[in-house]
Amino acid sequence: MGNHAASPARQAWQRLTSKRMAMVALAVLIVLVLLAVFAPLVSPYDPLEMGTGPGLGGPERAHLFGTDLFGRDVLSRVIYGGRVSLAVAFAAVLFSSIVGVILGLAAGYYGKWLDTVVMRAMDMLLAFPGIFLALAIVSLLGPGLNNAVLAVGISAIPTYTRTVRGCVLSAKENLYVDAAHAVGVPDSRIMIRHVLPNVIAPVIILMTLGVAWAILNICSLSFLGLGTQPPTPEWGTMLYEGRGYLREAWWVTTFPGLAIMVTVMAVNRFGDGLRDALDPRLKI
Amino acid sequence: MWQYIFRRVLVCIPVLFGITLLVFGMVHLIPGDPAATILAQSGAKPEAVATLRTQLGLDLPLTQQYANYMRGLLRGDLGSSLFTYRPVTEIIGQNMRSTLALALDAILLAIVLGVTLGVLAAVFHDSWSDNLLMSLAVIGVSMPSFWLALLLILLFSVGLGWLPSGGEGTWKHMILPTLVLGFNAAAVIARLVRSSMLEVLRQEYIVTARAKGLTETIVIVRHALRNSLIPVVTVIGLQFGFLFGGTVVTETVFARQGLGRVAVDAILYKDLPVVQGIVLFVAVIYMLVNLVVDLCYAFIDPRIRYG
Repeated sequence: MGNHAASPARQAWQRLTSKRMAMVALAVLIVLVLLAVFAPLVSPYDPLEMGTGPGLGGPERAHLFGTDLFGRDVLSRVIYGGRVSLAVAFAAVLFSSIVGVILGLAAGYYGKWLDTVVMRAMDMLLAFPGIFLALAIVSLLGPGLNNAVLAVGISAIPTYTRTVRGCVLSAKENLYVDAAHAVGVPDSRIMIRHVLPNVIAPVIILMTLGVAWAILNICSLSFLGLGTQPPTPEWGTMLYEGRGYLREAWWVTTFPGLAIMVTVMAVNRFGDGLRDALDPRLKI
Repeated sequence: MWQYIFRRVLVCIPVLFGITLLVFGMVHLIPGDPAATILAQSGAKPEAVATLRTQLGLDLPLTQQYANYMRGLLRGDLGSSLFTYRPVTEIIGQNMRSTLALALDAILLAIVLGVTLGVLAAVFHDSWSDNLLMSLAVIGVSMPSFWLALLLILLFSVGLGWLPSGGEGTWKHMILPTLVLGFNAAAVIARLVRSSMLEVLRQEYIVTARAKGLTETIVIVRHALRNSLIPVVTVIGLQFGFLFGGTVVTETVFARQGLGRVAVDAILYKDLPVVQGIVLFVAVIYMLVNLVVDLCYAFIDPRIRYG
């Protein structure tokens, strides 16, 4: 069998693996996820244990990333922090993509008043720029990790809804959708079997890039004291705690900051590669 | 042309209505009794909760509450802070100058830096300078602003002692916050200008311009840049919104008194009228910026007007 017979997914995978940058990013991501999953095995100390070394001790052999004010090991906290930051980012993305896809699918497929109501609601959410929507939501629910996830999740919904609706509008014009209607296939089945596959590629790309966005936003909320609360090891919170003694101990803020940047950069690079591989015409 | 402007301005009315509805509804989206939740931290007595409920007008029917809210808005009354009792409009008025100045400086920096670097990267496409600039742009997009802020403070304030690490007053106080706030937007704009420019440089009229014997500078500046800036204008509006959101973090790190910082404090103290007022103000400013961007768009690209 020649290359012509390969499935679209396989072709996309081949295009993706030919991109060196995306592959490097994927490798970095796999390492980060493995570190997060096996945090108890790889981290040298308990992230919450105080007095593992001197307070604000610089990087040395026993503490590669140094220690914080309470003598907690910064390396262990960065590793465990990855667990929290990655998990909450995935949770936020999963939440916004599921809600966004359902709303976009319904609005695009049924049209009429439902479309108007859903899309105007999305316009209302989009009227609050950047992190302000998340801030407004946190102000209602109160600070905390779960609420930060919910806030960041909700503020990402409009992006999915708009993209999915656009794809659905063009997908439902396909002849096979008409044919399915004609033979009496129920709406729910048409949506899932015939329309949904058309929106999967853009949604996967949005979700990938959305992880980077969610990490940045949740860390920002934590940095402002509105997300994860101390002593939980989370990258944003670690920066929040460390900025008080920036002059004395650069390592307390530098390593979690570096961790955020490397993760977000890897996710962005992988997302870019994925976009080019799945659909080069997409401009998301 | 006028018809387009008229239509575009008209669209703002339902958006404005939606914004007020959402900001008004914020109180009612609080799970449970809003008055009790707001006072939960201070362990207030039931009488205090009842008083707050009356103060917020929560004991009235919903339609009446919204009518009262809108009537207040039209008179320029956004309520008062629950703690300092100062009118919200006064709080916004006092703090908006610093925030707007910071946001405007940052967007200017982002446009100048982003367009220049984007054009350079496109002109020297696939060279080492293109690779370097685009790697920098990826860092700019991925770097959390609060970390960049801490690094710059570490370098320029703690290490070299050239610039103040926080506060406000002189132009020196503006440099680091502007850099931090503008860096991310500059990276986004540079990436967009580069890809847009590369697309334009492939067009036939560029080949014609070169064939006419025009110098490369004139081809780039007069023919390519002008056309490649069209998509950039829209993104500038969008970026301004993100930038406005970014002031929250920047003001906190650099200890600047502005709307963002006031908003964070108000959220921590559950001072809802202040949060509502600032959210409303920001949304309205964002709406106006996008309106201006869309109108500029019509001037730059005549096709829009007839679309």
